[in-house]
Amino acid sequence: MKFYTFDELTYPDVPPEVGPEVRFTNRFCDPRIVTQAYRDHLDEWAICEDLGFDGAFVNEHHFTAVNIQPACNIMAAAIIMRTKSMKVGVIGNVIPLRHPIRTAEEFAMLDCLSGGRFIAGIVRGVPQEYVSYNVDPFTSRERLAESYDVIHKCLNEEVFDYDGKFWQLAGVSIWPKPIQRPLPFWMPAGSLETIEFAAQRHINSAQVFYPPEAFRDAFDQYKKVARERFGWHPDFANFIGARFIHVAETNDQAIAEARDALGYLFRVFSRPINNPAPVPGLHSDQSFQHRTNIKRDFPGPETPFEQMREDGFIVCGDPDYVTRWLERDMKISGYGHFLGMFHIGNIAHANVMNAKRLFAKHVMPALRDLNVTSPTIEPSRTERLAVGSNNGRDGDAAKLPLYGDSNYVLTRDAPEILRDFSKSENGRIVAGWEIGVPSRGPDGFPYQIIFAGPAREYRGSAIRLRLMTTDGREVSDDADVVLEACHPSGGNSQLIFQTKYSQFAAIPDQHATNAANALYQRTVVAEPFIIRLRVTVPAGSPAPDPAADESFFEIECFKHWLNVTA
Amino acid sequence: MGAGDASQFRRHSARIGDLTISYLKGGRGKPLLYLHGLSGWGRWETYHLALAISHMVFAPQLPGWPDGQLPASIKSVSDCAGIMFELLDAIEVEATDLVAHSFGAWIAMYMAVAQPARFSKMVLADAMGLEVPDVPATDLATMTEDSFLRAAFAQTGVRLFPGDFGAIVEDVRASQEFRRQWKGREIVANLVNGHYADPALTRSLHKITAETLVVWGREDHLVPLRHAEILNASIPRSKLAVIDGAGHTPMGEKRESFQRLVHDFLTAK
Repeated sequence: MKFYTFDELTYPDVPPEVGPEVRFTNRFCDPRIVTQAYRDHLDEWAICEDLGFDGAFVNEHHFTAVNIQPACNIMAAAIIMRTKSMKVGVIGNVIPLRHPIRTAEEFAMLDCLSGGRFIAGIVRGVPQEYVSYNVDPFTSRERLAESYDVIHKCLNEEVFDYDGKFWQLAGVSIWPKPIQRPLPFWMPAGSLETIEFAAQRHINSAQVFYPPEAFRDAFDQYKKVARERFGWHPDFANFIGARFIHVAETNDQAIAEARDALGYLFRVFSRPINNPAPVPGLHSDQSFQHRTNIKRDFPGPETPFEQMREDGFIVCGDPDYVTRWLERDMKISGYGHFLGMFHIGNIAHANVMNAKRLFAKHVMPALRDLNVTSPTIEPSRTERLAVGSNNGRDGDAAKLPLYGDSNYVLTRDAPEILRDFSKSENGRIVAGWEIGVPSRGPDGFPYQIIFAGPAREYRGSAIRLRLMTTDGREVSDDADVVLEACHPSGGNSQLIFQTKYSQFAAIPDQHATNAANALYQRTVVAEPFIIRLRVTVPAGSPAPDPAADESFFEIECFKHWLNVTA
Repeated sequence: MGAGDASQFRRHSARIGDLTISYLKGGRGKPLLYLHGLSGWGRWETYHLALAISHMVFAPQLPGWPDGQLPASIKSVSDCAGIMFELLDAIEVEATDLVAHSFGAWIAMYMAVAQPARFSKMVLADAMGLEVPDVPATDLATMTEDSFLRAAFAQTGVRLFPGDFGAIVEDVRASQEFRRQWKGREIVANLVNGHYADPALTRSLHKITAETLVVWGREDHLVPLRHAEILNASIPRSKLAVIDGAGHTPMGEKRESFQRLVHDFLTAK
């Protein structure tokens, strides 16, 4: 079991005489009280590293006193600067309502700022957020999926364009990129649709507020979907349980300290503005069909504290009570990460600090060994990514993916093609293509064609080739293939790539993803230099025919004009 | 347009002769008249919100519902339609889309037959009023609470449906929705006095020009599914959608399915 602290960061000081109007206005917010609340919470998060917690999480809500960190990535940055080794995460950003590139950029920054300690999180958002951002809630799931798609590309692809329903993007290549590849993602997933979304993308699934049996329903559904639909087997580490928690020296003391604080939370809890009915479109009628445990509804201000304590809406008591309650919870639910929501409503700072010390000293050691072993081992995602042709080099380099995400592909139909040729040279036949570089852009700036060479993470730009002969067969395996840049006179030649044709012939489908050879030399070509793809066959062999319909080549590259990618 | 526009609504009233008609108004866009079924009690419901994302919704409370007593001037369903036309005039709405349920859909059909050009799109959900001799609608006057519960609702025990923050659990028999429908049943029974089939209206449905979506709960035993099929066949530009697991009130029992269906229909170009 791994232990984290997680806070909504509730505004602590709405006066007791204020009623439901607090849900509709920020009139009762005193920014100086917010400053003090931030300081208290940062102390409560920072102490967790010293106490042996595995990390701290924050989240965002909007237009509510329940959560006054709507830009929670800023708070994550503050925690990162107060800690050295534990994880810091967000769970999460309301990605359907914000620009996905910005979200990805912040995630990447947080991962770099923390030295690879960041855990990214996404959420779909709650009704009042859709109401005040005035976004059609019928589009919320589509927006979630598309935004995640864009964020994932930002974090994992070098350069990409995107043509979606909500976002049309061009030439996206974010700086910085994250240290962790892939960056871990967590999200709350309680409805059938979200569970499927998360399981498909290997996003860890969190549950909050409900009794252990309801947690189990959600996690079981995730396991079922992952296994049956997406062919993988989730482990404890894929599941997160979050609960309000308070620990004190005795049960009575813990209850006395937490009861009013929880009452405060319900008092300031917001609903959609001016509207008593549930906001349509956020769920479907099937969303909660997997719930077999329907004894308990989401609690409200009228729910007896003792019932909320029994159901685990809040785990509240002395260290022994809390240990026993959580042990049962963990065994029934099956999560491997526990998010303890220690700062309940307007509970006193000193009580939170004390609760965390007691929890770390007595509860964590007793539960550390729970839900650790893996019932099944899943092949790591890295291994599954490691596909592609073996280009003859050995060691780790052979497993690296091809250099993807170029912004341009040279082919025999590209406007840069000068001519194809076939000629005799020293008793051998040389055939192929000559490729030029456009001299000047519209504003007089020069073009460049850049072939990316191998780096730690890539083998080099992809090159594909199929060359037919004049009698309709492929050229022979021992033909020499050379890609070079040179002056039109043939001088100043620079070799970019050289191999035997057999290297291409060995790839069954060169149009398949990653099925290509890799250039092994970074080269920048500018006018007047040209690029030559030459294939040389022994004399007496059938002559190569670059003009044949089935002959083709593709070389991924960057076409660059001033500082604009074209 | 989005959820924000849709969540804002106001209560208004209009003086129609000696009647005061209260209505809710909210949203943005093309006008839409929503006519309620048995349980019209003047609350801005989730299905109003769903309509208001794309339309300016006017949702009047039908005569009789404010206090359970039919006004003396209302003697027929046709009279209700006349009042609704007067309301449209009073609020200066000429052309409008129309979404109507149950008894409200009966009124809506009168309106769409009388002045077809005013309505471009229309949704009729579990409409009363059709003449279908082999499977007539149930006589509301003779029902007990138990028989009404079984006829009107597909799910009669504890049910679970989506709320703002997860699932909401509700015992249907104990719900406000059930009490209100039971009360509305009496108003309709008193007005129609046993005449649940309206042959003249049924024969006139071909006059409707609105693009129409007929929506029905498959388990509706107040107005059986056969009525939906006849209705769909009688209106020239009509299509039918049947919602499984719902009775007479699909916008309550299969709320999200109903809302998406209607949202997609009304917003389709």
